[in-house]
Amino acid sequence: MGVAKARVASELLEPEPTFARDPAADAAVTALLDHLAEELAREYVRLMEKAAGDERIDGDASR
Amino acid sequence: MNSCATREWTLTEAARLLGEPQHRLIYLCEKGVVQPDLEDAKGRGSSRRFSGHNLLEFAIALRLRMLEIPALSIGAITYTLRVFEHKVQQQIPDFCLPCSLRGAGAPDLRVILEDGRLYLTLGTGQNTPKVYGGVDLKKLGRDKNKKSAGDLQRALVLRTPSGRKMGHGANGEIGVARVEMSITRIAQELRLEV
Repeated sequence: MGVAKARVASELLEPEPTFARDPAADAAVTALLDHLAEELAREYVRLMEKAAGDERIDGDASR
Repeated sequence: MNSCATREWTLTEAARLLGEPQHRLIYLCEKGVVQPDLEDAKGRGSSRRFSGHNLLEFAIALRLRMLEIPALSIGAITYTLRVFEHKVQQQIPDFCLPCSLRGAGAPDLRVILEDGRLYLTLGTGQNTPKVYGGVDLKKLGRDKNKKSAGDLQRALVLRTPSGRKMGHGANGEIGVARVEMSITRIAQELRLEV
């Protein structure tokens, strides 16, 4: 079997990420991913606020 | 509002923009890795229409597929990014992926898969990036038993990923592989204007 055919065959056998379609199906993993996303979002907001604060300080200093 | 939040792309346009055959994009949709934001195909005559966020998901997924990462794991990444976008929007309503990562000075958001675990890192040029996650993706689709809150907390122990030799486990799993890629760079390389 060629590489392309083998790839297609293996893809067809792969399970779907059921949590994406039905979050309840993999509730434990979904809870972990939600927690991960939440922590990451908090850090992103913190970085953006820090960047905005630094800009304000730079702006005040240059006046 | 960011420009990519209001634009939409057909399957043909998305395939052309990403330089990939349509069947690869369809495969990712059918596996649930990318869920068209605007209209899903539900029988004959209907068409998929994709948002800028979907294009970013495709770009990430296609790169990870090249490294033979299972669709299941890629789906976990796209799911997490979608929740991340939603959570940030609660604080910064203008935030959207990929647009908010395309600007100069955007934080470097990275995904790391190591020993079957998913990590995301976020940092700016000056500081060491912070590492989040450590979610065991090997359990996906297998473990149907409910976990206790304690199990969830234990599984969420932060671990700093260390360098490991590349390689794949049995059955296409990502057992011993270490893959790292910058979501920010992928977002910046997307040619959304085409």
